[in-house]
Amino acid sequence: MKGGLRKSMTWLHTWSTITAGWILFAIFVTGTLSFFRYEISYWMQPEFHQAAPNPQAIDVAYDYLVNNAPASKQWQIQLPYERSRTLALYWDDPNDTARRRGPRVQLDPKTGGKITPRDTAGGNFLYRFHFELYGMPRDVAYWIVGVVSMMMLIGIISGIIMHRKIFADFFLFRPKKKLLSWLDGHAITSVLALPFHLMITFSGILLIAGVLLPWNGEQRHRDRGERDGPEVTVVERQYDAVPPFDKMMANAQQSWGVPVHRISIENPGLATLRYTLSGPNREEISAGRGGNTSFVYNTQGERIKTNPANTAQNAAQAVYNYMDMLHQARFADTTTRWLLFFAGVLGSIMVGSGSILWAVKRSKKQMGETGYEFVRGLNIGSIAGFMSACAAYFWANRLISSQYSAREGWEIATFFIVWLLTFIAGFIWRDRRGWTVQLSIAAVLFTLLPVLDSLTSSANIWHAIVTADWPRLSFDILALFCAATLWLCVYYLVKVKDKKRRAPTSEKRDSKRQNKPIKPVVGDA
Amino acid sequence: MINALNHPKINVTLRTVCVVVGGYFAAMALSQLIAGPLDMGSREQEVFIRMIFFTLYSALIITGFSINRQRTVYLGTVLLNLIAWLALAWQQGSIL
Repeated sequence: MKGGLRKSMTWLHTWSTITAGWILFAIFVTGTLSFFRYEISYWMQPEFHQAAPNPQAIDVAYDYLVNNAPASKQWQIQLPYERSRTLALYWDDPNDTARRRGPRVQLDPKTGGKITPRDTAGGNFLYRFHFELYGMPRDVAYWIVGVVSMMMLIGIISGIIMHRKIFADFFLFRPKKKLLSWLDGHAITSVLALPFHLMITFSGILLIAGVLLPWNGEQRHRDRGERDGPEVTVVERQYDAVPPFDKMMANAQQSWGVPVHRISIENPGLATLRYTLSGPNREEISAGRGGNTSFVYNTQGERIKTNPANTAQNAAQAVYNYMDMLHQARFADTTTRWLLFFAGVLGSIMVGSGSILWAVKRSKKQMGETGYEFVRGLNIGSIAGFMSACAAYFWANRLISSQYSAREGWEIATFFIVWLLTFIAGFIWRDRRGWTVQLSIAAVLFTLLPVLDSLTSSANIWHAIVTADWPRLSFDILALFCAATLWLCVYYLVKVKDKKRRAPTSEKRDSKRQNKPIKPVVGDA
Repeated sequence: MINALNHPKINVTLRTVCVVVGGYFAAMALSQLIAGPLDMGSREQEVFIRMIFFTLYSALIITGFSINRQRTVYLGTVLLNLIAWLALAWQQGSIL
């Protein structure tokens, strides 16, 4: 650590991020996609795509529950909203003691028909991957993700300290200079969304801190004990009266200014019946979950109680909840969600360009050495290859038969098989051509996703546009945005190659060295 | 033996282990030390420690790598741990 603070920080920045960069890129990309977790799941279950909005959806739900769960003590209705177009119904089954959660069905709000979607992990696979990875004990995964997140945080802080002119660098981009353009691109993507990078990394560490700090506080277990035995009392329930849904919903909507989202019905068919209405009107972010008010109505549709929004019990809990809300974008409307997504894309580019920059900087001195070539191969597989694996996961969702029983496992297997293949290809073709081919494959796969969507969904893309199916269209836009970003990278690589073709012979010689067999060097990298 | 220990790669490895492990334990003691006198419930204290631990840990790692002299890092880490853990033990009434 000789040579002053800036030099030490440069060293720390390089090594804390390069060693974690490959897994960080995967975490960042899957985390960024998880901002649209529900939209991804909706897209990956095309059986939902024919569902159309219906102002009388609540009546459809009520009729279904009266006919299919008349003996239940509680019904829950989730109405269609901006992130899902189906009716989701849950109820308490008094005869089923095995499951803590009762039955759940999804209905077409217009026809009332039950929709049985295909088996898929959907957006949850990507969401869980970004903090639990896959196929390993949860605590081990938390430790790995926690350690690399900590390395990322150190990388960000040391990156800020090492910058001589962080503000001036923000406005500097030199696309004609190979090394400097990588450096500038890395700096721009880092600085442009710096508050986001700091927030998402720090809050991410906080969310899994329970495992990283086992000495702090009590270990909480998720064991909720046994359920009570089956209800033996037979109660006579009457479903003659028409529920005053219109009156209650108009009243709630007028108070909140947003439509009702959930309706919970307690003791249906009895004189003690109560309706609890809640909306997406989050009033208290510091509370974490439960930060919105709900209204309780009686059988006549008169409001009899207001359940206020929860508040944080103390300042520390409030700050923690703010971090939690920010990380998971629980408060975000559509615009904010897209802004967070763009910030996440910048973060992914920052991590990816950092890894590439490391290799570009050392290309002249270390070309052909084992450690260096290993990093180059890893870079291609973990960056370009990972994008192909994500796209392949979506393709597998539509190409594997919806009737195939093991399809969920095969979707995930496709993701890992493609990722493995890209690593192998990355180690064989480690040069610019390797990058160009792999990025092009990913770009083609993402570009054609809307086409695949239109061909394999129960409703074509025109139907989605006409009926404003935003959850589905959001995914298609997201896919096209990913494709555009990847095509931009391909364009950059091809353009630079073209320039190299016209460059002096000494530079041509350099490019010929790029795929030569590796020469082992003791203690390299 | 001394010459082997002075090799730059060994120096970097030892410094990394010292800063990462020593920093973890120092941040562990310091965060509990700071949270101790504050009037908080157990859950509030747990959350407070989570937040302050990672802030302190990051600061200690950055400091550990910004100091030029290797010996100062070792000595600083040991001293900081010694003082922090003794102060914590004193605060919790384990000593004196």
